[in-house]
Amino acid sequence: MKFLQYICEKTVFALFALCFSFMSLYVPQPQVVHAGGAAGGATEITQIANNIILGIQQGYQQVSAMMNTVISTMTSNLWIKENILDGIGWALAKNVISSMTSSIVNWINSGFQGSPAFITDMEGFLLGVADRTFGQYLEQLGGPYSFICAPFRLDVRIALAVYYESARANGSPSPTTCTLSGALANIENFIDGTQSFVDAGGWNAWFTMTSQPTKYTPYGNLVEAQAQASARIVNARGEEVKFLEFGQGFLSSKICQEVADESGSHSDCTITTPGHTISQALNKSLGAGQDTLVQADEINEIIAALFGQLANQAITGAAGLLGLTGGTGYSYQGTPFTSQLSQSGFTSNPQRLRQLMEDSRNVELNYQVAAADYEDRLRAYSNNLLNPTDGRIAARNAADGIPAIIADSQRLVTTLNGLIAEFDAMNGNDVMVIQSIADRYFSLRLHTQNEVDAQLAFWQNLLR
Amino acid sequence: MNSYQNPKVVGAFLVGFAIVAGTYVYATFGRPRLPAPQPAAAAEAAPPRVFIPVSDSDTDGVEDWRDQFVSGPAVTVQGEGAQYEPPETVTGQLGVALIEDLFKMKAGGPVARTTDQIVVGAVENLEKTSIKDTIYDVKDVTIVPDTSPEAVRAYGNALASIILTYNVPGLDNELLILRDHITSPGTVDNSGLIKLSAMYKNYRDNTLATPVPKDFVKAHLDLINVYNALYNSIDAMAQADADPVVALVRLKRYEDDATGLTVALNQIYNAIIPYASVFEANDPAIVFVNFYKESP
Repeated sequence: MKFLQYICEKTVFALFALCFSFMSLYVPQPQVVHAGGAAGGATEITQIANNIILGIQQGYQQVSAMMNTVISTMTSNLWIKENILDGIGWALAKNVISSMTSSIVNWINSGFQGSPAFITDMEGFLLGVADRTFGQYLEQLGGPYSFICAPFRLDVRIALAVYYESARANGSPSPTTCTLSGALANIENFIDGTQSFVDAGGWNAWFTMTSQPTKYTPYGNLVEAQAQASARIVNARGEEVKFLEFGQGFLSSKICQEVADESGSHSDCTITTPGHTISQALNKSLGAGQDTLVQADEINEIIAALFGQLANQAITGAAGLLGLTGGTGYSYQGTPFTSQLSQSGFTSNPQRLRQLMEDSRNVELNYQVAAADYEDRLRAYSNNLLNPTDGRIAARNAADGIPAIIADSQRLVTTLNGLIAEFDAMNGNDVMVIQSIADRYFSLRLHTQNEVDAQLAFWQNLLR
Repeated sequence: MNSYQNPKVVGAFLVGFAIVAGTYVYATFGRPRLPAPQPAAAAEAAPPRVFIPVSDSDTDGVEDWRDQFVSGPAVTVQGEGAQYEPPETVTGQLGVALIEDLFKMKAGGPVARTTDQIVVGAVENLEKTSIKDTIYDVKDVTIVPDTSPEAVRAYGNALASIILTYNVPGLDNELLILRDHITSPGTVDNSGLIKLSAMYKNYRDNTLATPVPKDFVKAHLDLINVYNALYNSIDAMAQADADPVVALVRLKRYEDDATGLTVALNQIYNAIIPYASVFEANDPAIVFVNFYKESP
């Protein structure tokens, strides 16, 4: 037994020594890489094509351009992503920033040509927003959860409305004339009223009132309401400061302008961010005092956010449409972006928006009627044993898909009815309401007449 | 204090030391030794300090050394009073629309759309205009009822002939061409991309015009739609200078398009292979063997 233990000890020691020696002496050697052919071998299917295998090599060379694409996906997707796609994406993103900045600045320098009217009358538009915000606030003050004590709620609302009208007419809010001494005088009047000092609550009530004048005096309420109203209006005008979180380096680019001099003209360039450049152009175009309207950081932020959204957006390509998901079919693409751009400016002609909504509703209603008719006809075709089997199967599949199309169209009609009713209930041409309706209308994935026609032609083709 | 030393411990220590010393000597034997540091000449004068010249070789107001830190093309803006042309590119329209939306957000205050909503809306619009392709369907192709081996052979050869006829040999992968073009502007042109996009356009149009046996309709339409997708993607790459945002979003779906091409060609191969016995060695359709891919 001892002998066995002795052997084990020596063996372990020798192994340790050997490992230690090996680690000390080992020098990594570069591996010799042998060029090899593409992986793969004969399979049952390729063996079937043995009679034509001699032409494979020649065929490969003949279709080299397309094979580049095929091989790239068959063999090395990850390599392409790491080594090529990321680099191209980065370079393209820089080009996008340059191109967008150029278009935006040129548009601003042109005096906002083709823009909605509100941009050229920003002051008037902002005043409208301020009015609306103040009106909403005034309404809240009269509500059941208002912070103003009930006995003088009406007085405060009237005083606040008068104050706002005065400030609006003068162009800027006037400094408050309600001073602490005024508030104290009011309290003294209150204390000298019909009730005795004790009946009115005594010293406790007096201390409560004097320590919280903004809550227990009408003047205090007014001061508080003025402050809150101002805060809401300021917020409504979007003057809160936002800080750029990222992207400063990525967004930096060289901005150049052609400058004439004695020798002709030359480029005058600076390195800056698009936000700064656009903000400068805006300040120039809109005049002094508007510089806080849109700050450089906000522009940088929204451009950076756009790239963030693009990077995170999952985009399906051709593979998603093919056998991986079950075949080709119609894809409803909604209203094209370019059409949306050309159809902007509803604030100047609101009835155009209503007409568009009505047209869309009619398209949907007609589509529903036609789809229901085709469903019956396709089912009749599929049930007729005299028709070809393939055709019957295709007709049945198409008929099975129609109820979902009709349900989708009915949902769209309901939404359109709601938008049209909201449009009709609008008082005058309220720009904000029109814009809100237009935004919601364009966000709908409506069927265009062309798409409906194509779908009906497809169903008709199945009935042949 | 017991001063007795176990001879085994001493022996093991000595053997271990000998092994370590031996391996060290062996591992470093023959290596060139670093020269012994020489004491610096105390009297040697420091080299004269040379200022890097602040040059501006292109006289654009930005010094050469700062130019190196700016990537991407310079933005050239028009001066005030210049003739304004509304942007025709998606990139230009996107930029103007984005700032318009920012104005609306400012003007609308609490009732306006948020920044996130604006950005999401802009990307959705981009998808509608730049990413979605026309989908070709059964109404766009001519379907023939004949599915005899001879008809299949004629069909396979017709598809292959289109590939061989309009192939553009000697070009790199489109991604490599695009990379070289946008990273080396002025030295590598985009003619390769234009040729490749024309190639896929020819593939699409001629395949659309090819009558298809009714059993092959699915594979046929898939191939056409893939050709169309790749044509649109490579065409957008070719226009990357003028309209980079379209190229960028098409690049996002390029991998999927390329995978789609592999799938579509493989479908054609699998559809034809049951009729392999009727094909001859010199038939053009043999090119589809190149696109065989074993199912995962």
